[in-house]
Amino acid sequence: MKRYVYKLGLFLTLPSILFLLTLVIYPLIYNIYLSLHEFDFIKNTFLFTGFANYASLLFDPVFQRAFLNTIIFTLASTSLELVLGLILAILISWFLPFGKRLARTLIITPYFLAAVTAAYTWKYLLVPVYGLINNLLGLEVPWLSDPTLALISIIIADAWKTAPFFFLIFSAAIESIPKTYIEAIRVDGASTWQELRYVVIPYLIPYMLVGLVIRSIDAFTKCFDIVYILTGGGPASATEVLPTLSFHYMFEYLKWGKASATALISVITTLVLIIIYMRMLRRR
Amino acid sequence: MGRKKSDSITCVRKLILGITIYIILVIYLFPIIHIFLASFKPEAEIFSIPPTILPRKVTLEHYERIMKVFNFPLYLRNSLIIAVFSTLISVSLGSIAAYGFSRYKFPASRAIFLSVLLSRMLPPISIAIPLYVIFRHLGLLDTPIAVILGHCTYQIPFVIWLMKSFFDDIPHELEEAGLVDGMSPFQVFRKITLPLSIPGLTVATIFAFMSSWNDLIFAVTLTMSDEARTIPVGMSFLQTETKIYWGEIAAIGFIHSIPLLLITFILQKYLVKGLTLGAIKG
Repeated sequence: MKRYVYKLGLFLTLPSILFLLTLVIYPLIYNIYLSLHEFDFIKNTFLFTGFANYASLLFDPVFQRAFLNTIIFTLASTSLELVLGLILAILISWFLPFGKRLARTLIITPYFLAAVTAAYTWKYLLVPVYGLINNLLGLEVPWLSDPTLALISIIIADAWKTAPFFFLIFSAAIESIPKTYIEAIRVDGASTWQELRYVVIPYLIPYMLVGLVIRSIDAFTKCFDIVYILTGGGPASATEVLPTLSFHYMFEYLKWGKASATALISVITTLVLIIIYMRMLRRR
Repeated sequence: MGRKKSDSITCVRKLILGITIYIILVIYLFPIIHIFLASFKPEAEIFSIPPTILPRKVTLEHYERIMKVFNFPLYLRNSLIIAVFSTLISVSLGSIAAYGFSRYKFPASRAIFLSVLLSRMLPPISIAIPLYVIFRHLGLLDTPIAVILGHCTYQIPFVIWLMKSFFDDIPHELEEAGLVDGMSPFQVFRKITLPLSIPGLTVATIFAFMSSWNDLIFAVTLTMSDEARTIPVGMSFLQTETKIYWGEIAAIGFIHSIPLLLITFILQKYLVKGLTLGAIKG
């Protein structure tokens, strides 16, 4: 029951609303302005360029690559995280006979490390000559300087860091499965595999959907740190994603207009994603 | 007799199962162990082939170097100032707003609330870039204030969402009883609602602190010198074209992670709710 005391409600929310208007909404609108201009460092003014920035981006192979990379990264890392998180949750919440609390505490540590630390952690494993992975496997693979392998490495590193997110959701869900469900299928003489197949997995499906929605938007919008540290977008822009590309336009090529246009395209794509998700969730 | 035998068999099976799962867990966590051990290895051992796991010789040279050569004390100071102030601002503004959204209806309150959620989902770069240009104009670049304001842009929406779901769980009958007893709305908030929302406030504070503590994108965009750089930004400069300072990276990473690990340990119970913004109750 909510009372319609709008003066008080408005009074309480006003400070936050004003803050967000000046530091989120205004910058977003200013971003549109920036994307339609290019900053001239010599004259120290903005020159109106219309849609030139957008037009040049659309035909820019580096931008196309970055856009595609961001999509691939989002799809691949989110699904890998889900699978890894599911395996960990089943192992620990379903099979582990003792020490569950300790195992849970340990397993979530990668998720709470700073993305910078997590990225360096993987970079240290993947260094070609003295790195642990190449030495263990007896390989000499240039994990981070081969265009395809570099993107795969980024995805694996991110999945490793973020799997505990799904782990947490799934293990909380597994603990909440009503005992009667499990007893019912055990009475019928089901094997462990059948218990997982017919009780646990179906029970987790709604949780998977919520997790996928949250995580895929996060992966799409917040992939800056891990790429920035692991490859810096290289080799030769092969692993550039939208946020890092925008950053490079801004501070390396000093193209503020292009940087803003890139950022705005990722905002629009995020909004499209959100609309698709809302439609999907409403239909269910 | 037969029963006893099968009991001990299941016992052994359980033990093997448990140990196997713990081994998998150690493998999963091994990357962290490996880099943190590097912080205690001498320079030559870090680059040795094949790599060592346990340090053959323990040294604290990297910890000394980050203190003396790499400006770590400055980064630590900046990180603390920025995280503390941005958290204070966002938790106080955000939780008051969350209470307003939870208890009162006003014109467009639902629409405003949904746009707050939406603003949390935006790519941070789309705020950081225009903020850079605005702050440059205002002469705020390269100051802790710039980074504090930048961090608040995503902490406030987060706090509003999280706290609203906590406030929604507090039965409003309690507050109404207070009103019937002749308390003012402010007294009701202070004496009834606030004490009940302390767990929520703790979780919001810690999550807000962590997001500022870990942030790279705002801090790297809005700073230009060590005067305002935070720990993650300082770490990002420890790799150059020719050299990566692994020992120093590991040492800083280790110190930077200590509060995070403590927090996750304490917060276990509320993690799911915090991570899914109340979409899933843990």
